[in-house]
Amino acid sequence: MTCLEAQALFSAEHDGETVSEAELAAASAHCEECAECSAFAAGIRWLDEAQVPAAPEGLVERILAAVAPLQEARENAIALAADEDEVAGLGLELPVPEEDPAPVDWLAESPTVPTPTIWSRFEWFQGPTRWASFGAIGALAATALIAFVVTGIGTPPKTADTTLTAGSTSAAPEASFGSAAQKAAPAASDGRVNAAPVQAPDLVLYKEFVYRPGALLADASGATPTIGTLTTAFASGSVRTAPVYRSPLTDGSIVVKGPDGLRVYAPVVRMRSSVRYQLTSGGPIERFGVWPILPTRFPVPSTADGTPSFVVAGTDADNVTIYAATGRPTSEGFAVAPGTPTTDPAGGNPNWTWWAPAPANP
Amino acid sequence: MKQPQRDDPELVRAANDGDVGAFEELVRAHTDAVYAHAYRFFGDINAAQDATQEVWIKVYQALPEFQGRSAVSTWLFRITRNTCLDMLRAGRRVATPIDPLDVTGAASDDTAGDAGSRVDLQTALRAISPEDRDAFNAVALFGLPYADAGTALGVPAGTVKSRVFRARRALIALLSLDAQGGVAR
Repeated sequence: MTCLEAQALFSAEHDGETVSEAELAAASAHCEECAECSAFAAGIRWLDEAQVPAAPEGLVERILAAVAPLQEARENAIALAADEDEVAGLGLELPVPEEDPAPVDWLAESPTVPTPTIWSRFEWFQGPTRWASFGAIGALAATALIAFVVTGIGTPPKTADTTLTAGSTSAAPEASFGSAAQKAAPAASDGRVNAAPVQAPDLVLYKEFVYRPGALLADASGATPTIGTLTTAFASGSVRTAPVYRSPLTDGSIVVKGPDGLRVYAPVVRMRSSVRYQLTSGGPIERFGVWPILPTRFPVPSTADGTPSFVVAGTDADNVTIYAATGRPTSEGFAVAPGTPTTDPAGGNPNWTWWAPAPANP
Repeated sequence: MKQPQRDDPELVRAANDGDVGAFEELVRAHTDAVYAHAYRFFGDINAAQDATQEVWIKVYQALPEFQGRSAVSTWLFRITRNTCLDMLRAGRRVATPIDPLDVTGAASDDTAGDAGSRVDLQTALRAISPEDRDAFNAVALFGLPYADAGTALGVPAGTVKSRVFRARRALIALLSLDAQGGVAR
């Protein structure tokens, strides 16, 4: 038996695969003579014991908090379905007809059921009391009509168009989570939502472009020279000026000196026509957890279709609806409505966002 | 009264029926595996946390689609792997490249509670090929049999077996483990 054969056997046996007793005995015998195979067998055990990095404390709670709104929506849907069942069941509780139909012998081989007529669906409206019922319904309808005219109660609520663009994954703003936030907490004058229910990710703003934290740089030598500064408190503490360095990577990232050292910050981008567009913010992002907002030159759209600032201009590479500035080409940048799915680069953002061509050299 | 312990398919069904506790039980049982895969994929704690959260959101949204044709762990592994790949493709996260030459003789004899050795194992894992690492994670983290791992990865079970074996050989060589499971000096 060769070393490779013996080691492959140990590996498969370790994973619960069926191996023959004879083969295993031969591999063990080989192992006693071979230091390499002996080390491999011990190594497998070592890998098992040492391999799993546990999830950081608090992550499970963070996950459960993120899922909670979905659970609430699901509970509401289940409750709604139950209500509908109950309403459907109400038909069974309607008044029993005074004149029973002909009895059916359900024990017969082929029970003969009377053919239902249109009136049989309104059994409660049959019999001697039918005209009294008719009068009662008429009186109720008249009362409701008067109430409608006088008070306006019953007027259908004004709702925005919640129709999604065909095939797109971006929700119209009134259908979005952000819309709920805006209803719960009126938007500030700059259009920023005061109390977004979804925690924004860790973001920093550098020259109007938004970046997310990436890997920590073990070797700082590649991160030179200083190209500017940005203002942030990072995750906590007071707002301060942090130096920004050129990144050793060529993906448009920057390197920021933070409390834990030099960290790469990757641009938050989306693709359209093979061009990278980067998230911008018209307002400061001075600590993690703050959502970007539209540049101030764009009034926050007052309608689901983006008007008056934007017009629907198609979709990006991930099929998210994008909006061009009115009268301008999307090559200059585009907007995305709030309510994109969590997998989107702006997922969970309760505000409209603006995406400009990503700078190659920040 | 203490509720009898439920297995994964029961928990998925209960969670789908609106049982919040069942979903929490699933999260607590499997988050370490999801996080570990994401951490090995990105090599970054923040990215791994984001990915883990995203995985569970996707799992929750996909609960009604789970038909029980595969094991829950197979389903979970597939979602985890795809989520990490999607995040990488979307440019929202970058995987920190590792040069295998930078990973040598990093493990120690004392494996229990030795953060240093753990970190270096994770570094070594990121130095091996993504295909081998995925197969290794499917088997070692999610406990999938070769056949299930093959289904999740879209390759035959025999390929999974080869990849896991290759991953182990590479890791043991990279970490220079000796016959006692310690570093060969």
